[in-house]
Amino acid sequence: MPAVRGRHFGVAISATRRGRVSVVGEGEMALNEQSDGKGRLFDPAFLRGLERWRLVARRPLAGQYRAERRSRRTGASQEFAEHRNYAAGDDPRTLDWSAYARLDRLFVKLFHEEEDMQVIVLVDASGSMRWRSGGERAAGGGRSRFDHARRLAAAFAHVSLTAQHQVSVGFFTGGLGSRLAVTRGRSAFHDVLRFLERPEFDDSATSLDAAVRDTVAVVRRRSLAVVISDFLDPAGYERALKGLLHRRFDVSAILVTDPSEAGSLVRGDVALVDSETGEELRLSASDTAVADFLARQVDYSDRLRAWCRSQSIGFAETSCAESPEETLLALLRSGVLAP
Amino acid sequence: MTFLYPAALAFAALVPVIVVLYMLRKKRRTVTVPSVLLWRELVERAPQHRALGRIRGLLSLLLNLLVFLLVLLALMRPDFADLFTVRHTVLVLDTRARMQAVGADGTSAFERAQRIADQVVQRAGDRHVFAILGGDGTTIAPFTADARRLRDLIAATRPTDAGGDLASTVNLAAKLVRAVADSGRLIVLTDRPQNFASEEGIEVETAAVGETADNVGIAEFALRSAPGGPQSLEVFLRVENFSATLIERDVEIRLDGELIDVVRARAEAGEAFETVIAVAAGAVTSPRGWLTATLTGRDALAVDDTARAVVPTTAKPRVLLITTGNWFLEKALAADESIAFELLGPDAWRDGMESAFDVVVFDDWLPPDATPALLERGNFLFAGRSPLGAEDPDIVNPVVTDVDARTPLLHGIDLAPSRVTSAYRLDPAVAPGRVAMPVRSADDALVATFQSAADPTRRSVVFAFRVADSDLPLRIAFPLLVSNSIHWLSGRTERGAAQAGRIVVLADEESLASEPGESGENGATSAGVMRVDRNGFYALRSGDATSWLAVNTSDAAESDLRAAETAVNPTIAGAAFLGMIPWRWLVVAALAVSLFEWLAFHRRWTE
Repeated sequence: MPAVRGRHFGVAISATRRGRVSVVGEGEMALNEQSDGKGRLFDPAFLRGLERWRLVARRPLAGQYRAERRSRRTGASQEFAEHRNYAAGDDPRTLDWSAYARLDRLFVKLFHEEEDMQVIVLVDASGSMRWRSGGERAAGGGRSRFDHARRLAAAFAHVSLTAQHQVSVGFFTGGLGSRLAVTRGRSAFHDVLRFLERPEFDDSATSLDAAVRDTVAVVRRRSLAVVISDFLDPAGYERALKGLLHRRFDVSAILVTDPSEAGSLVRGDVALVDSETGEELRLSASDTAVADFLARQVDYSDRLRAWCRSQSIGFAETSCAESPEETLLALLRSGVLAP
Repeated sequence: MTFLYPAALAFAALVPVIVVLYMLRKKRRTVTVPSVLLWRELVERAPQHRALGRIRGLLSLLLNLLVFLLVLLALMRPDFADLFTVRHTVLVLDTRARMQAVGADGTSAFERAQRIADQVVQRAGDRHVFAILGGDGTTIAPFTADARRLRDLIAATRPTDAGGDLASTVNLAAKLVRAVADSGRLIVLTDRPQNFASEEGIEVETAAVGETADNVGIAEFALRSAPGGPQSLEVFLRVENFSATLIERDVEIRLDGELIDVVRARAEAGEAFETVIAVAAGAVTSPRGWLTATLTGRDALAVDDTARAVVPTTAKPRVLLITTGNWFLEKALAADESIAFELLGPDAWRDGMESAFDVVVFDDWLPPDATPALLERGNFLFAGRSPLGAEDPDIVNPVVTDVDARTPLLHGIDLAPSRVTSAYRLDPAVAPGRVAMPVRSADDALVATFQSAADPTRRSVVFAFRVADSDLPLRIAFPLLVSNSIHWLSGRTERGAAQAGRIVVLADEESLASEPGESGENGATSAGVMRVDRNGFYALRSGDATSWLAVNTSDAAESDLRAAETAVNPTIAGAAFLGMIPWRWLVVAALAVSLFEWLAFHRRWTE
C-alpha cells in the first residue's frame, strides 16, 4: 500500500492493482479510432498504463458510497488512521491488543473511512483545441489537443471508475455541451469511451465561465472537477475556476499544449486567423516576433500554474505530442494522480 | 547638370503601377492559428512587430521605387558635363545629300538629326557652349552659349545636295574644340556612324539617325559634242540601282521642260544602267538649254532622281583669224557651225581687238609688241609663232612621244601618227606653273596650253608648229583639234555642269546666282569663288550674256543608302562621368539596389 502523499491530500483512493483493463474486444477498434480515422485514440498501451494510478483529491469531499478513496472520516477501511483511548461502549474488536500488551492500557484502533468521490471531467472542445498543425483544425496533421484531452479524460474516467468513484464527462465550448451522466462501476468505462469518441458540442468560442456555470447548475454535489483545456479564453480562466472553488469543488486544471503550433508559424507579413472566432490579426511575423510569441506561451503557462497554485488548484501541463507515459508522469508530478 | 531626354519623365506615371504591383506582392499569407489571444497580447505590448512590419514593408517599397527612380534617371540621360567647368561641345550636323532620305515614318534623317541637336542644345545648362558644323565642314554657328540663337540656326539649317567627307569635318571639329579648350565633346549626328578618330580629351559621340533604304539614283548625266560634229550632242546617262531587287524605271529627258525622250532604265540589284542618247543639232533650239533627266517613281532619296545638264545655246563664240593666208585653217574654222568666224590680215590687227572676240587665232604671226603679257589679255590660239616660243623653228622632225589624253583638246583625236617637219621650241618658264604640255616630243612641247592664274578663263593654246609644216591638215584630227581648242578657249564646255559641293571660280565680270533658279535673281556672287551646294541651274552672268550652270549630286556614296544605320531611338548618351557615361552608372546602381532588394526580400529583411 503506498503512503499518503502530503498532508493536504484530504482523502485518497487506496492504491490498487487489480489487473489489466480489458479494452480490447469486439467493436473496440471503432471506439478507439480517432475521429479522423488515423490511428487509435485509446490504444491498449495507454489504457494498460492507467492501471497503476489513482486519483488524488486535494479537498475533503463527502462520498455517498464506500469506495477506494480515503475519507477524512474514520471507518471500516483497512488503512490505519489513529489510536484513541478506549471508552465504554467501544467495540472490543477495535482494541489494539498489541498496544495493551506493551503499554498496559487499552487503546482503540481507528481506521480511515473509504468513500466514493464524484469526478467531473470537463473537456474543452473549442476550435483552438481541435486545431491541428497544417492550418485545418479538423483534418490532417498529428494528434490535436482535443484528441489528447479526450485521452486524458478517458484516463481520469478509468482511474475513477476503477476506484469505484462516480464519473461524469462533458465537453464544453461556449457552454457545457454534451455530458455523460454520472456513472459508476468499471463496466461504465465503455460508455465513457463511446461518449468520448463521439463528442457533441456547438462550434462557439471558448467560454470557460459559461461552461462552469452550466456544470455547477447540473452537478449539485461537490466533486473533483478536472478541467482539460488550453485555457485560451479571451474572458480569462480565473473567474471560471474560482466559480468551481466557490462551489467547494476540488479543481484540477490540465493545460494541453501543442508543440506543432510553433512549427507551423510562418514568417513574414501574415494574417493570423483565429480558429474559433475567425478574427484576423495582421502582423509581421519576424523571427523575433515568433520568439516573443513562444516566450509568451511559456509565460502564459507559468502564470496559469502560479495562479492555480495560489488557489490550491491542481495543475498539470501536458503536450499532445507526449507519449502516454510522459503524460501520466506529468500528471504525477502535478499531484493530480498518485501511484 | 542637364537631362538629354527629359521626356522620359513621363514614365513616372508608372509609379502607381509599381505601388500596385508591390501591394499585390505584399499580399499577406493567411495562417489559421488556434487562437490569436496571445498574438494580440504580443502586438499590444510590443507594437513594433506591427510597426516594424510597416517600416520593413515601406523599406521594400522604397527600394523598389529607388530602383525605378534610378532607371527613370538613366532614361532621362543626365549629363554632368557642365557640372564643374564650362563644357565645349561641337555639334556636327551631317548636312550631306543622303540625309534627305526619307524614312518609313515620313521624316528625313536630317529632320531627326535636327530634332536631336535641338534637344541637346535646349537641355544644356548655362555652362555649356556649343558650336555647330555642317557635314561639309561649314560653320553653322561658332561657339556660343546662346541657346535661342543656336536653336534658330539649327532650325534654319537645311541639308545640301552635295556629298562630303564627314571624317574631315569631325577632325575639323576636334581642332575647333582644341582651339578654345583642352577638352570637349563632339556630337556627330549622321545617318552612317563610323569610328571617327578622336583626340586626347575630345569625346566623340555619334548618334545614328539613318534608316536603311533602297534607292535608285542618276549617277552620271553628261553632255558632249558628238564626235561627228560639235553641233550635235550626245547625252550619257548612268542610273545606279542601290537596292536589293531588280528595278525598271523610266527616265524622262526634257529640254527646257519639253519631253524629248523617255528611256527605260533596267538594272539588277547593285548594278547600273548606262546609255547614250543622241540629240540632233536641230533639236537644240532652246533659249536656255536646260536638259534634265528625271527618274519616274519615288524612292527614299529624291535628290538624285533628277540630273541636269546644259546644252550650249548661248551666242556662238566669235573667232578672229589673223593670217596671211592658210587655206586649211580657214576651212577648218569656217566648217565649224558652232562658232562665228572672221578673218583679218595682220595689217588690220589693232591692239585691244582681242576683247571683242572670244578667241583670236594667230597664224604664224604675232603683233609687233607681243610679249607673254599678251596671254593675260584674251584667249588665243597660236599656230607657229607664239609668245612662248623661239623666233625660229629650230626643232626638226619632232616626233609625238607623249600625249595627255585627258586634255579636252585631244578629245576624240589621236595625234601620234602625225608628222611635223619643224617646230618652235617653247619655253614654259615664261609663265611658270601655268603652262601645260599635253602633246610633247621628248622634252619639247608640240602643243601647249596656258591658263592665267589671276583669271582662269584667260587661256591660250599654242601649236608649236606651222600648220603647213605638218601632215595634220590632211588628217581628220585637224578640224577636231581646232574645234576642241576653240571651244576650250571660249570656255563653253567647262561651265556647263558641276557637282554639288564644288567650288566655282568666277572671273571679274562674272557673277553666279547664289541659288539655283530660273531668273537667278536670288542674289549673286561676283568675282571669286562660290560653292554650289544645291542641285539645279545657276545663272552665270558675264557682262550682258547669261549662261547656265547645271549642278547635280552625282555621288554614288550619297545615293547608296544601304549602309545607313537604323536607330529607332537615336540617343545622346552624354559626357562621361567618373569614367563612364552617367546613365550607365545609374543602371549599375539600379541593378545593385535591385539585387539588395531581392536579397532582402528572400532573407525576409523587408517583411
